[in-house]
Amino acid sequence: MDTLWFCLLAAMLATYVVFDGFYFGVGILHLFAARSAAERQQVLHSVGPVWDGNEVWLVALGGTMMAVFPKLLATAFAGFYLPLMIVLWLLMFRALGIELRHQVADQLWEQFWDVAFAAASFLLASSWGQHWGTLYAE
Amino acid sequence: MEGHFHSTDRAGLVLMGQPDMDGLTLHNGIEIPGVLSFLTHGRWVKEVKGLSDFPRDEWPSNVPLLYYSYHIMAGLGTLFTLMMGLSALQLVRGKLWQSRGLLWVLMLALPFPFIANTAGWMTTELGRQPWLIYGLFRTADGYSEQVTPSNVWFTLIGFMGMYALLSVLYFFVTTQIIAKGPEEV
Amino acid sequence: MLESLQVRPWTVGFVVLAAGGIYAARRYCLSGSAGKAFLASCLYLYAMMASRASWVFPNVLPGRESSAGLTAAVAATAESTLVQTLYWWVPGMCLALGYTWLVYRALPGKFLVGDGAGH
Repeated sequence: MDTLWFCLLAAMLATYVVFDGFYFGVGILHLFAARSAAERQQVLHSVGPVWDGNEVWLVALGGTMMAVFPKLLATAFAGFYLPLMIVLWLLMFRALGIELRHQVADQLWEQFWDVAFAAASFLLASSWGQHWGTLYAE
Repeated sequence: MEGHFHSTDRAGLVLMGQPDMDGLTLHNGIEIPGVLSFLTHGRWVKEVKGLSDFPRDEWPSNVPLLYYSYHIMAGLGTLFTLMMGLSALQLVRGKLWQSRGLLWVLMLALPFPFIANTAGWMTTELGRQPWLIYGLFRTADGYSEQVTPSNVWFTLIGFMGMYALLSVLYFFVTTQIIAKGPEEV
Repeated sequence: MLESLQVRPWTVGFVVLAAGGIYAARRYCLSGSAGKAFLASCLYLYAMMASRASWVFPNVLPGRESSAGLTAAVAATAESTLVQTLYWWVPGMCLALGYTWLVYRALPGKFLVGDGAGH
């Protein structure tokens, strides 16, 4: 049974990576791929409606780990306290970037949040890589 | 939380009062007799245990703060019930949009839900002390040993900074939206 | 990792799948079918994670010495809890996957520049 749950948790983690991965990619690339404001809007619209749901896979992973492998949750999250908090802040920034962008019709505002979104996505992607790499380095 | 220091039967529900931790009593208390017993046990006369009946090391560490936050929450809740009841009545009569006084009250009551919410959470978390899991697990035993206090300070200040930033942004964006005015219907 | 490979040599298949995923993604992307390219990159990600998970198993959290790692058996809750969680997980996962499929189906096709679609 714990083997089964190991596989299921790995599958949930991989599903989170798939769903949030394309969102990271959009974030990192949209500064380069989209030149004009309309193109940026298009890029953001491509992820717009679904990104909330994609984040939930991470929450689901944490919740399932609490039910199934609580010692893993305790050890990993306590040991990785600071890095995970920084990941949390980057997630907040990413969400801010995409949601606040079109609230104020100002050039500087939009550019700031675009860059914040891109920087947060890039740092998040590299942070997750660092986490899993540190955990599973031989 | 209720300011109920000594066990009594027919325990009353305290509406207002100031808890005194030195004398373990409630100053200037206004209470409705019997209601606390009824709420706790379903009977008007049953005894409700007071705080002094529990061992001293099982008391929450800050009883006055707990008391005040609970009463703020409950008081605001009652206020909301009254306000909304009145507003519903006016709406059914079709007079809500003309009753300027009530509309002003409704608008000015904007910060109260946030305050009540925060006070409620404070009640929960202060009242649970010193237990993390009641009767089984104390907060002092339940902390992660890997996480040093300096880590926690860093993240606490970090979160405070993030939330300060968020509240400034919220304020800014909301005033922008308000300044734009409602959309054309 | 090497011990895991010795015990379960079939896990090399995951690496092959992952490499195949990258190659297929590139092929499909160049030929223009973006949907298939996405699926191929998903395959790559799943195979990569599966290979890592299979090499780490039975540790969930490896330590510097192989005996110091946290194994799945130690980290898990009681057997009954695992079974009950499974009973809740399966319907929940069906709901989540069904919702995801519905949402991605319900969205219109590609956005064009100049569409004032509401966000």
